Amino acid sequence: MAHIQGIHLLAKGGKSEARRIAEDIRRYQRLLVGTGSAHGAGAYAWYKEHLPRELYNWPQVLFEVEESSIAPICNRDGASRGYFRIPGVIGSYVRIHVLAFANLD
Amino acid sequence: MDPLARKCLEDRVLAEVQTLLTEGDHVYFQHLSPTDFLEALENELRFLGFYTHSDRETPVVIRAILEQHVDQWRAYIREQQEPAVPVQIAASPWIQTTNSAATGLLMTKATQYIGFMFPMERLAIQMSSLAVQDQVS
Repeated sequence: MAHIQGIHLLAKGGKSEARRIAEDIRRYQRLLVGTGSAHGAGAYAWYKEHLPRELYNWPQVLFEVEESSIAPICNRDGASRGYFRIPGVIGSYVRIHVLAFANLD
Repeated sequence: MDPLARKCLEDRVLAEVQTLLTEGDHVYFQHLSPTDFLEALENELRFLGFYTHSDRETPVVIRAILEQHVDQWRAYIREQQEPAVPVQIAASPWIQTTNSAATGLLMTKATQYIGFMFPMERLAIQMSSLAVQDQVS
């Protein structure tokens, strides 16, 4: 079963809120499906190797997920936009395996 | 933010939203409330790295730019969803010709039909008809 590594940005960059969320993510190995997404409901994350430089210092979690459980975000011509969605119902959680957190301090 | 920097930011925002509207799912967008649509755009630009974590000014300017254009973008999405109006196109004369044409087409100089056979086949037919004429005469 193939796995991919993704980076999810936490709490719109607010560090104290990010630390609180990180604890929930670490304990339950899950991401919350929030509102206000542009490509459908789900938890959004960058492919590890495609994270833009401007986002390097944002609070974030590196995780692993089964490739079959993600929906890549692509243009109409099929070109990847560098990130993906783990589909889910708004307000519910999707399962991930946490590898590391960054920029929480 | 100075005017030039704001203009550059606005150009980037407009280009990105245009891409999003072109490449994105219009049906999904149309089901978002105006507030959710605005939030979706805002989140998308943040997610794409339009500003660094320590930047407090840029998100405020982005919000203002989005609010300035959001009605226009929503109107665009609505237009994309409107059902296409069927257009009556008059049948071309060629359609009438093919429908009314007899199945056995004569290969004469006067009749300008489009050839349905390869040139070599036409030549063979013409030669065989000449041979028949020779036998008759």
